[in-house]
Amino acid sequence: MGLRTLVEEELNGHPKCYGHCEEVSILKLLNENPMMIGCYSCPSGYVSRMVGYGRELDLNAFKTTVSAAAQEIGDVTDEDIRVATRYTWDLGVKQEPEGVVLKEAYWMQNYRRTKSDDPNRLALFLCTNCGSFYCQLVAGKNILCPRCMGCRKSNKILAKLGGDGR
Amino acid sequence: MRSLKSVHVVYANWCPHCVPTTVEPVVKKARELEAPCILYDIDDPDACEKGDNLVRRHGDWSADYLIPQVFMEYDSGEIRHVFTGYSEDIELTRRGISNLLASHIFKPSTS
Repeated sequence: MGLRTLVEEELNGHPKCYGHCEEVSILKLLNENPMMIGCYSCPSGYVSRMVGYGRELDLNAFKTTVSAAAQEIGDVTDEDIRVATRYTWDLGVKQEPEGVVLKEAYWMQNYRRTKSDDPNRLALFLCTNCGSFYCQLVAGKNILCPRCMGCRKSNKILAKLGGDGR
Repeated sequence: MRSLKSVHVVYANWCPHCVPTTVEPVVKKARELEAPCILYDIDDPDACEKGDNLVRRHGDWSADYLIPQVFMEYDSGEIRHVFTGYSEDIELTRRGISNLLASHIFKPSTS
């Protein structure tokens, strides 16, 4: 069973958005190199958590990825990363050899050490169009990253001028 | 053949993945198997120290580790980590505990 299939079928949670709104967060798998990374975000794009998956975990690679995404909102320390082992018996999968199936590494935004109720804090979002990370105030209403927002504005201007927006 | 000696759960009362989702069914199952279930409340300093040691030596350790974590201790002296809560969704924790308790891990004796 491939890792991606395992994650999509067995680890695809639907938790409530954490620290932003009451909507449900959805898992989006972002990349597989150097490790598979998933991101839970609500319909507004607010990132509740990032998860790294692997038969073996490269915690440095995970921390590097999270740090790069979250650099505008603050540092990421070892304390912010939590790990879990998933086995055949708790996943309930029969197609895998008995024992450890995979490991997960978690990072949560605005949790424990970095918890803040400041409504003016910067927060990490995932663009609902292109899936890239960007930062805005936690109460911000943009659901697109600055690049996609710029493209949309350009297209609107071109449409007004009679262009086709390409 | 080895026999189950006891079940250990590291948990917190304020954590919904722990109480009631994990602690209640694990305690019930351990009782059925006539094995003591030892609970380590991480908000109790003494229990926390023991729970920390369990997690550090046998479990999914990190500085601010995930709870709940469940361990099986056998009469051979072996301690085996068998479960960590699913931080992404309490429904996954619920399903995971249900699968675990129905698995061979919680049968009266395992080889």
